[in-house]
Amino acid sequence: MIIAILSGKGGTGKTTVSTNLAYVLDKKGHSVKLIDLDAEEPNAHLFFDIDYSEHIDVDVKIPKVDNAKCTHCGDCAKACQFSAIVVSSKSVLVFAHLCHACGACLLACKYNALEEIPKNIGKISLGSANGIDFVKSQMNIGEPSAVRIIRQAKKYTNKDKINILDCPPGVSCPTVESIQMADFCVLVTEPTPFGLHDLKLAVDLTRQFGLKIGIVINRYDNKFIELESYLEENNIPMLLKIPYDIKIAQSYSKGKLFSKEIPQYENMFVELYNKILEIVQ
Amino acid sequence: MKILLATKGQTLDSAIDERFARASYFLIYDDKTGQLDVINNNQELSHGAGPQAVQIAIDNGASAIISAMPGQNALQAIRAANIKIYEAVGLSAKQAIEKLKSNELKEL
Ligand code: SF4
Ligand code: SF4
Repeated sequence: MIIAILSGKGGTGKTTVSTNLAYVLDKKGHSVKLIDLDAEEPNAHLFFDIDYSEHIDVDVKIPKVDNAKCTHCGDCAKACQFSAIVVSSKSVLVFAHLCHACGACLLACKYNALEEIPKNIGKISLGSANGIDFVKSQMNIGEPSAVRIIRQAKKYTNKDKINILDCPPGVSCPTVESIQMADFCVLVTEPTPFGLHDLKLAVDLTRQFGLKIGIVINRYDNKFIELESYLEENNIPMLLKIPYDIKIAQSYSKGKLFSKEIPQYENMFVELYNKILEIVQ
Repeated sequence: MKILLATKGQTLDSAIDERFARASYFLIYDDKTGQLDVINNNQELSHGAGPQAVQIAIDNGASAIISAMPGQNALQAIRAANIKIYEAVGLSAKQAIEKLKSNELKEL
């Protein structure tokens, strides 16, 4: 099973949910794989002692101009929707850090003047997080898109395990790439107007792909009722409310798993998993 | 010579925009014929705005740009295309053209 943990915006607690769920399920004897797909800012590893066994480079192919063949026709620049190529009568300039490696320029060049050269955009690290299978995706700083790294990292899901995907925040291409093969999406939000606004975007996204979803409210304080009315009106299952508790915040800031530090919270994640199972089956 | 001016408005009386690549308009002015073309720069690229603006200058045959200080990408493309670039924030397009003619503009 693949469980994607996402949120419309950053900082709502999706890594908290991913790591604690992984920890508790492993402790209860399940076979768990935790995959950090937030390649721009991976941080799930901060909550475990990771023993890495392998690092795999992720390369993409970007264009390089063969000046002997180039006629400066400009077709490649017109084909590039990311403005990563500028053609003048004197030069053809490829901006590697703007290039999304889509290949459109290569198709557009009638003179066969573009060849492909590899460019490293990040890496995937495999290891063990206190016994839990762990995969970290990491994009190099300044790269325009994490999609290719996520696509590679997703290949490490294991169908015999419970795969927990800590997805990138937001609702753009990296998130879309992350959730596509999920059996279930957990949307983490917080009880504020901003939280609700971004949650709606995330709900719309998952519905476009026909995915099963449920909500976790983090820092729940019983005050912002609009969120719950929205969930009711739209028939969205509520899976878990993580209370607003200073002890949770403290354990998070120390890089600790609160379900481990504060044992009464352990069961919360067992219940979360049971509710997910119920909906999936 | 054709000049690309990155401006806030559509006429030669408009001020030079504080941004090059994200200026509201690009005016293409031909100082031989006096002809003026107006390009509405409503691009929404989050990245790549600089290179795109330079490509517009190239495609319109500009051999000089008058604008604010461009970003790194744009500057690199401007240099590669052998276009001259002058800074003229605080002036109108018309004033900037006059100052260019009398060699009073700072070349970047
Ligand atoms: S499309 Fe090919 S020939 Fe034309 S400018 Fe680009 S690289 Fe040169
Ligand atoms: S591969 Fe795509 S993004 Fe990169 S320069 Fe070519 S067209 Fe632009």
